[in-house]
Amino acid sequence: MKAWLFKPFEKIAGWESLAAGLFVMLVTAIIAALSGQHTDGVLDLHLGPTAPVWVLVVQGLINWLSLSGCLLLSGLWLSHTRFRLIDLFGTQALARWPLIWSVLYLAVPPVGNALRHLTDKLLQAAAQTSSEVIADPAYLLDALILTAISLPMLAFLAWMVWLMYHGYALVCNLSGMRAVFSFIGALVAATIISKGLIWMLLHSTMN
Amino acid sequence: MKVIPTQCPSCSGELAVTGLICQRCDTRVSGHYRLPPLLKLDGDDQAFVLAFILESGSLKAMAARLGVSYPTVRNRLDQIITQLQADAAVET
Repeated sequence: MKAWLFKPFEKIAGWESLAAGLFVMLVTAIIAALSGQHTDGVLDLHLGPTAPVWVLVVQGLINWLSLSGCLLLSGLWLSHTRFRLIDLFGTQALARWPLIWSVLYLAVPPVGNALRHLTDKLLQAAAQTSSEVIADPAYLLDALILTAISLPMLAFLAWMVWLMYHGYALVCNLSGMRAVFSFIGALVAATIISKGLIWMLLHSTMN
Repeated sequence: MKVIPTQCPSCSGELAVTGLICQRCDTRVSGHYRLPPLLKLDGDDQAFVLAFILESGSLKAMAARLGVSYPTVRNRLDQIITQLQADAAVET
């Protein structure tokens, strides 16, 4: 069970993982669209204005393809093994499956409403005291509550990042610092690319 | 199934063959023969190589046979290749 949760790509890769991953991405997009969420970056999940399902599907595809593309370049550069594209893209698709738990969690009305309320409150407080370096202690409790509510999402995010790394390292047969640093580099590059592309998407569809 | 030992239990040095016997007529041959590279692999790796050949060199078939993913089989093969290459480098 532990292997399936944390090292699934030792058992499944290629077309099977691609099909499963795309299916999960679709379901995630539907739930996100229905609950006013956006996957506006490779690792991002935020509450926002309601958008059609196709926008959320495209967001998911951009996130998946951005990271897969960056990892492909990294793998071609560093790997000594001949790896299949379908394995890399397929494992990266399925690696995103923990995101569905974050989306489901945020879709629970009390959770989503609490996050929206606390975020608005803290943003308003910041706008009023922007010249101060230290936040007003009156809002620290709100910030702590916001952090506590976000902890499950952080756990799911960490799980997802681990699966992304596991898929990349296994498919490209990389290990150690070489695998870690190249993965981090690809993740940063993919985040920038995905943010830019999704901004253009939202800018053209939501206005 | 017995696996031929390849490392000295005393000093971990490489073991060699110094005698062979004919199972039909009892003729004995003595000399100094280094073990072939494939026999220096551990039992699991030897079984893997044998299965790989029986599957006509298909990594996909090996993955299905072992119940693991294609990249896992690929990496196992790469490990064995690295080991054989290291052994070949030592011999030369």
